[in-house]
Amino acid sequence: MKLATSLFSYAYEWNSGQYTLEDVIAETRKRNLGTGLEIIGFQSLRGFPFISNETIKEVKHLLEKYEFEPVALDANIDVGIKRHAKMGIDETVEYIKPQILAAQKLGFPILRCQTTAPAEVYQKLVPFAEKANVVMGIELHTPYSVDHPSVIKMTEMFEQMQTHVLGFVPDMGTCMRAIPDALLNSFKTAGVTDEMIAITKEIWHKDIPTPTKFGELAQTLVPMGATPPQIGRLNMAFSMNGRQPVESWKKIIPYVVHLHGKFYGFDENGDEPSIDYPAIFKVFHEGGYNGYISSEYEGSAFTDEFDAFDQVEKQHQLWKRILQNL
Amino acid sequence: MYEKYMIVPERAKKNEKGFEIGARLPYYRGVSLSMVEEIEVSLDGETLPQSDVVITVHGNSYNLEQRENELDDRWEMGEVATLSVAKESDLKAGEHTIGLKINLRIGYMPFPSIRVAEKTVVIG
Repeated sequence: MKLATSLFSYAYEWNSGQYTLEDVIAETRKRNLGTGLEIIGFQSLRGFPFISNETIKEVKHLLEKYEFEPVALDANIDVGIKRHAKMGIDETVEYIKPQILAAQKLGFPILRCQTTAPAEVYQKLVPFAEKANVVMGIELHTPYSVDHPSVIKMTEMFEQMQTHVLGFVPDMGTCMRAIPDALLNSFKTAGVTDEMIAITKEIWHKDIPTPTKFGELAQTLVPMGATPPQIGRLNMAFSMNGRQPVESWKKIIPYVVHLHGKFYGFDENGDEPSIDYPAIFKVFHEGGYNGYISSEYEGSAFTDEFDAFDQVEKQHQLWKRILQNL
Repeated sequence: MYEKYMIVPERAKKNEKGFEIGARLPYYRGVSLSMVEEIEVSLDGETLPQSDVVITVHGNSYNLEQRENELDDRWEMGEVATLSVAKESDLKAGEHTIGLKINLRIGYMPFPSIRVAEKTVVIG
């Protein structure tokens, strides 16, 4: 398996206005954080997906200058872009097409796609993606674990289509062993109490679907006086932290084209307490996967206690240790 | 912690309609303006009507209704937008407490993304 970094990790630093695209790529190289790079279209490229020749030139130049292999370009599928109507199938197809072309022009072999679009959308896009020679890598972000009905449907469609342009991008936030304490503690600034945190942890461990967890949390916390922003924060604990067993990935490994190495933080031994990376590497390695895994630091959403570059560096140190022992 | 950079105090000033502040989007990427469900500004504890807020991104201005229907133009990540707020009574120059709530409608998230920030700014 090969190591990459997603610029998603630096969203907070970047938001400060103190970094350019080149600055973040240069720092990633300086710290030697992998051989591959993943970027998010709507984050890094003004006007995306309708990018200028100048942008294309700049991105290619930076990849070459800092010696990164373009691994994945992340699309976003904004099915809720209109206020009162969800995007239809054909509209969604048209929303994704220019993003496929952007990946082609920038030289990224994979376009990270999202499960907000159903199997039918991707099935319709196959001829277009084949022509562009861009793989649509559908991210399996919690609650979309391998047993989710939409994912089962997607897998069946993959089997039927038999094409190289369809694949999965499992996100390791789908198979966590705990809700990160750093995440829960950060909610305290929004007035979340220890009692609310304890209830959230308890509901998280239940074997019930995520939407049911949202309902149960609101039902329990509203009478306690929790505000919508507080409940919104705590809902993040369910929407970002899935409980799928690591071994379940085995079922879909032949379709995996890329991995998202989501992480929250490290203990004093340099391990990620909420995500079992040694087990994850073992399952994918033994399943024959030899592609990339990208660092995706989730911390910027909730804390500024750590420097994202330091955090990604720690994750790469952990990964390198694991790879040596595989 | 996107809240930290939401309000850009250096960009606060009085204008012909009332006052304006600079604001950054509290998200990891840019979004179409139609996805900005709510922009709620408060001044010294008083919440001002959202219909009185005009947002300007890279030279393009949108009132509430225009913003809600703008599918193409985007508030980019890290871009400092100007939020101009109509305020009739004469606003005293000096320090004021500005509150800002931004609610984003993200199609792949099961609940609204709401971020709230507050800063003391000098409105000259």
